[in-house]
Amino acid sequence: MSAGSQISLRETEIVMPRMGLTMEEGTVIAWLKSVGEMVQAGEPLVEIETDKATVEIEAPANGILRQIVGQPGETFPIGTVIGYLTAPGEKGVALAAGTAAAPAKLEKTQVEARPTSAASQMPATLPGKVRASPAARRIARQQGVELGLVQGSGPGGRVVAWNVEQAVAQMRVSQPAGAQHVASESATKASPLAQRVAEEYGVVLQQVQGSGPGGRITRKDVERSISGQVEVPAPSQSPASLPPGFTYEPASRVQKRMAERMASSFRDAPHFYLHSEADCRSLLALRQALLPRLEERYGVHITVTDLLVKFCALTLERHPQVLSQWSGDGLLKTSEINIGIAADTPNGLLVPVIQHCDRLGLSEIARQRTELVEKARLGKLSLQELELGTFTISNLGMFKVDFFDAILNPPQAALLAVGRMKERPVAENGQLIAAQTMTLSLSVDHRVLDGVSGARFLSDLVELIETPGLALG
Amino acid sequence: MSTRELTFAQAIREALDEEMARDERIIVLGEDVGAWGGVFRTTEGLFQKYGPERVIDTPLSEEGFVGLSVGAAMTGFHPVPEIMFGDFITLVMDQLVNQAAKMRYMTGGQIQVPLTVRATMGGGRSSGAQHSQSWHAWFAHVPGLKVVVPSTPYDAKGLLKTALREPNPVIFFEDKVMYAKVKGPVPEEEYCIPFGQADIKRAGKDVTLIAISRMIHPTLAAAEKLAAEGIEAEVIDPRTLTPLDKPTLIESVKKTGGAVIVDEGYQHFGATAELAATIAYGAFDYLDAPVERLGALDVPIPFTPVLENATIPDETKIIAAVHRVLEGRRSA
Amino acid sequence: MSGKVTKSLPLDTSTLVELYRRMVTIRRFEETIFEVYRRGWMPGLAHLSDGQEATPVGVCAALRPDDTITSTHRGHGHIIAKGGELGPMMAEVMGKVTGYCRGKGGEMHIADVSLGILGANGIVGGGLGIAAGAAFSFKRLGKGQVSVAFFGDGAVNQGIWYETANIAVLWNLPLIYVCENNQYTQFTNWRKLVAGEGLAARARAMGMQAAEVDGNDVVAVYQATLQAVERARAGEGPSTLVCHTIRYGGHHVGEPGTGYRSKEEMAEWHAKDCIVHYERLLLEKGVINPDQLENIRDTIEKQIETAVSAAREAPFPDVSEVNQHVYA
Repeated sequence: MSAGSQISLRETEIVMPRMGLTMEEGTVIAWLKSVGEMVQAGEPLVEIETDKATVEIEAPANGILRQIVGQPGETFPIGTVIGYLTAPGEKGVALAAGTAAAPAKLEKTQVEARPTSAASQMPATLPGKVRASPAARRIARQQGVELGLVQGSGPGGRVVAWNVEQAVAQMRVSQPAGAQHVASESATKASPLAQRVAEEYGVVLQQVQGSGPGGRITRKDVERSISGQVEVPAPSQSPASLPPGFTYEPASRVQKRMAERMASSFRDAPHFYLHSEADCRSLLALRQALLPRLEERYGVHITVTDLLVKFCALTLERHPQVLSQWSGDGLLKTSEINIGIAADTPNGLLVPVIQHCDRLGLSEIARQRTELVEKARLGKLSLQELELGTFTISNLGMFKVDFFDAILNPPQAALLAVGRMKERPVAENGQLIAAQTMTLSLSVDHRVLDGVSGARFLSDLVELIETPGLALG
Repeated sequence: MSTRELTFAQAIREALDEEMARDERIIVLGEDVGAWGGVFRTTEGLFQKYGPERVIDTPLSEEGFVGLSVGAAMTGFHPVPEIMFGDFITLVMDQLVNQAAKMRYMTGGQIQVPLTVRATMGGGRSSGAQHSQSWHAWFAHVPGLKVVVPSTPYDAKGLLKTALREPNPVIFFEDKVMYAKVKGPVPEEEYCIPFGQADIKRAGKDVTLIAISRMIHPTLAAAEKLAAEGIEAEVIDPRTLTPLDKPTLIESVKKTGGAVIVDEGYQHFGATAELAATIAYGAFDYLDAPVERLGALDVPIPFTPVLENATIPDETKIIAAVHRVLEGRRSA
Repeated sequence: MSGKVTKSLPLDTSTLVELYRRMVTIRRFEETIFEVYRRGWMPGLAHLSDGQEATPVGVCAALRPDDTITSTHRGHGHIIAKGGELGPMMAEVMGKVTGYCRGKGGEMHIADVSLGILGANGIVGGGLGIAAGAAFSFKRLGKGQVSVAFFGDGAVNQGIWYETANIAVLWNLPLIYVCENNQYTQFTNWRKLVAGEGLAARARAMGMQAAEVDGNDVVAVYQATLQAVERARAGEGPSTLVCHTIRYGGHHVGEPGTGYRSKEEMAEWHAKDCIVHYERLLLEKGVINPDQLENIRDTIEKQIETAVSAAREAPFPDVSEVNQHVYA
């Protein structure tokens, strides 16, 4: 064996993990531990970014971070070894610094996998196939865990039983607070063969379009999904009869998901809408006065949305019942004020969330909003940044939309839809004047709030907008 | 209730003695088994006690005296021929494989062959390539034979007594190193150990270690070292290869998710392969890592100790195999 | 001990007739198997011994019912001579469940322990160890039983013969080696394969009594065997008889035996046919008349016919039997 591949059998490889269905490579963002530092199994070890999200990878075993191979900013194909842990007490890696074969950077050229330890004499992973032990597969099958989303700590990145058990435990923890993952209520109809292939390849069945009878998912559907053809659907998927003049385009995963969520929201939550036209003269004057000062002081550009977030946060503090969520036969109550801001991105509608807006000052809100929206546009939002929202603001004011009623963002019970701020005729003291107003529409889930509760909230909010000084109270 | 200790050889001798006293059909044959008391002392004193009619020194004719034993078994005796070095069993293959193993079946059940062939196995004594082999896998591959591979004095005595009461041909393999080197408690009270019953010699939950014959001992030693690392290994001794106690092996691996099989027979197509297949089939959905096999290195067994030792599985290799099985799996 | 053909017949009439009856039974049985085989009524191969009848008949006539024999792959003669019944034999040959071995042994492995037949054996020399073991047991059991090992010229060079012979002489076993030298080890004449002076000389060199006998003279074989048996029963140890004879057929049915044997050679042997020769002798000596001969042959024909039709109608064993009888 060459010097570069002499590895003690006590080494644990840290591998660029497969975090999602179509993930082929990941970028090292930051190591959260230093070389020589002791690491516990399960502790966050390194931050990895994919085209969808930034995630923290946990240490696969107890040990000392013996060597960092993948440097921040470098991108590697999945399965590449990016670091090594050594079991405590072991002499350690015979890798000479510098002679270690540099892990392949992702050029658009042939990439060589890092020589693995003598222990992992496994055949190369088939592209797209999840390597998992039979025990891991069984537990995943029994517990309804998608193998492709589980990071493996076994040799060569193999998913082993305890990885799946961890995933199960996490699933149980994160489920109550508005999980990001769309859990389709109805069982996804799929053939056993399709289920097996889906499990093997880590395909989320709910995201696969079924072409079998009654929308049943067949193996071919799953395979098509794996090869990414869902994004560019085969023409053979057209329904039996097309009306003349129409062509058929199957929905992308994101589209499909949005369609499902909006449909279920609209269907399950009895919406009612409260409208208000807020006088923005004071608000605009305040913003005008503050803006240059705030920019100077905090280095941020404050927008109306930022102000709305702040006002909503304050109002939600006074009306926490607006944050409740309907849950079967009861309410899930919370005081977490995590406001999501609907953003239009090349990937479709995304709603990044600013956590704990009640604890943030306006400049901080603005700063986070800036960052999140930018990330959303670049498709670099992490899972945490997209989940746990308890209230949403959707602003179409930049378009010629005067006002609109929005569909609630499930499982939230309220949503503020903001229309265009423009000069409108306003009657004041019997006189007609032109003033800047903004239209607001509050969508409310009638299972959670009645008209008056909603109205009280909206009233308070409009009051803040029209008299922003009250925010200091 | 007594806890006296016997060596492996003494336990075997005692089994022979007790059964010969019990059943006058039992006769011992072999080279220097009588007057000399056996090259490994396993028949010591029997000649003096039972006489030349029952403890017979044969000419150096393995095929001859084993063939004769087959015929004697078919006509009223229970012969116990001894193959001094298991390597010589190659000379009696026809008698065991084509005659003894098949007589009952070929005659539609007319004939019984109560025959116990005692053969030795195992290297580690610089005895060279032709005096160190372990051929239990060959005979487990022959329908009609039973194959016994005891690892302790207690097991040896109990299993040999069963063999001497068995109406079928049994090949009983005795590891040479263990004769004098392994001592263990053997009750004075009468007991037999039935065939087809594996013995869990050490309970554990993190990995299953299956070891054949002498290999039990480095495996148990490895288990102790592993325990210090927080790895609790379950050590199982199959004791008989035919019949094989598959359920015990499978249930253990279902519990632990991984297995290492240790044997002194050659690895390629060895006994470990059958045990690994048994586990892969019976515990498939519970395997969390591939099954590891440690057999003797697939080379003729070398004479010089440094090379010979490199061919035989030992504690270090067993521990390394366990680490491979547990790699990235977090046993806790 | 002389092996010359004897003109005086020191046996009673019934024994003499029985010898004839057994030889004809074997001859007709083998000729019938030939037909059975050719008609596809039996699987596998058939190894026939027509032409060699005198040796097994002569030997077995000198044995007690509780003496044992081991046989070879060409063993129908041995089995019939030792008292084997045609019905179960024919059924076994056809692989039926009513056969001696429930169809599991076949024509090469027939056994009937109650008749002292410790099995025919498909391994050349395979019966030698077993026969030695039986002799070993008989010596211990002290009932005067003897063990006979039939084998051919091929086994003469098998190591097992020398190993067991050495032990038999050393331990003084009541074992009789009967070599049926039918001139050919499969397709090769024995003279090209056996060094020195042959088996009898080798046996003597090992300290054993040995005799060469005209294997086609049933009375000579009988007498030689009797002497060996009496010696064995008296505790005087093993003997070897080398009986020279011929097989008319090839090594197995389907192999005509003409590729390595000349017509002249075969004509010579046919002229010395053991049954024809013996029949003539019995008639000459007035032991039997032509009518009796015809009756005997007739009866045998009927017995064989019955055996064939019974075997043909008998069932094969049920598949569920396949893993029975592996272990006791």
